[in-house]
Amino acid sequence: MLQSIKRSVSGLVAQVNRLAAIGGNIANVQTAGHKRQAGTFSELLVQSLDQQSVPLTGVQGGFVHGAEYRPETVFSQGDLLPTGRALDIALVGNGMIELHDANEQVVFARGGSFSLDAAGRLVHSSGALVPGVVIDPRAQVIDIDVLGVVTFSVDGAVNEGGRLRVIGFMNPAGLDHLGELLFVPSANSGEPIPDSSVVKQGFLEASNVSLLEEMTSLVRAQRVYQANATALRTLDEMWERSTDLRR
Amino acid sequence: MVIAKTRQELMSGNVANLETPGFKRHNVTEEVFSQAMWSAQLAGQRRQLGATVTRTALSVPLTDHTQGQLVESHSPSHLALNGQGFFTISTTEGVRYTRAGDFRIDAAGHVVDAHGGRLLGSDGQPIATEGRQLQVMSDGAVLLDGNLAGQLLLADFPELSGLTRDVNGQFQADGLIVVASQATVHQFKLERSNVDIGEEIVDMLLTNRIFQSAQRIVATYDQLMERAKEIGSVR
Repeated sequence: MLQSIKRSVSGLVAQVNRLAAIGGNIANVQTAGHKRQAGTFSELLVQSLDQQSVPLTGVQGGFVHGAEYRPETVFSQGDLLPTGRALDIALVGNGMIELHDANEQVVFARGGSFSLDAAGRLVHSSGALVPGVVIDPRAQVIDIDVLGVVTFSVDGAVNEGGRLRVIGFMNPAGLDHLGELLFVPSANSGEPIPDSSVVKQGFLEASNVSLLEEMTSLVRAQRVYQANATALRTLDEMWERSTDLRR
Repeated sequence: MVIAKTRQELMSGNVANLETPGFKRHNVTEEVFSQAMWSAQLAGQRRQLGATVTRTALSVPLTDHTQGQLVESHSPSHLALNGQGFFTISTTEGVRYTRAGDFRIDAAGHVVDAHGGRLLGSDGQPIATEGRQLQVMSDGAVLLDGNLAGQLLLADFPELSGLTRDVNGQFQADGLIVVASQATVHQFKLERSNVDIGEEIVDMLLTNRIFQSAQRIVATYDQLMERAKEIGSVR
């Protein structure tokens, strides 16, 4: 009985986690560069205390499983929004732009709104810097080509300003999300690999969240939550009846 | 009462996995008790058998292998099977079979399931994408960056009832005959669990009532016994 209750609870928790992912997606439906979280459910063995000492592989008849939600980031391409701003950068492809955060850690972003600081460094909206790019703060025209090469002109003289490093991953879905549109490699993301993404200056990448899809998912989550709650209530009633036997 | 409890336990597992891709619902059938005992004896268990026919017993939990609905998905590594068959997975525990097609690419570039088991090709080797674009055709052919790179190993079993579930809900086939599957593979799709929410809820209500009735019967017996004791006592 306890085991079934745990099973129903695992179903409830899985749906709550899914709701959290949906909530985050809906909140960021207008955030440029946001990548939606989606996940799938998998079966989870719910062991009761009294079974922990029993070797599980020897049990006949099969187990009954609870469920678990495993979210992951979906790196599908978002639409490009023209902004006309010289330091708005978007990527087309699967790559990521390498950045250094305040602690000199390597982090990655899909692009975003950049600005120039007093020292002429290119700063991401999160505060992370683009390594190897220095632009004269007096520059009138800043140009970034499709490969990420930065040129700028001061009083008509064209200068090289460095290059944005665009890197890909074996499994982008395995990158850890730091918040503020930044990602860091994890054991799941694999080694950095060369990437041929196209750098688009003057564009921002729109969020890849589809509101319609999220709302459908929300309704499903709600219904499945209710079903699990019903199962839990039924178990509770049965338990109550068993204790009534002694009256 | 025990039967109603077990049914309820199985159903709670089904409901928890309403949204688990490729999940196959658990089912039990009721058998007449004397028949259940008879089969226990055949299986070589030596127990004294009662021969009442009015009681019922439960079969071992069975798996309902009916096809689940296919739904669109966002990931190229999500695969679904239409028709009878299973994906073959290599895990640390040995070969497993599953219909849960929510695969992903791991750090080494292999196609893996939710528990880290590797999807096998027909040559018995894991499918390795090495960062290339994965494409899977309906006959199970695997294309990487547009070039034919292998074939999925799809298994089927003439005796589905012989499959057992392991701790991750994947199927284990000890000593069963494996045949090639005729199922078609669909990329960018997932097979929904074959649990019907309405059916499970109705079954749960019914089970709850059966449990209640059984409880009343036990309580009535208890009262009868008490009466009998009163009659028998000398005052």
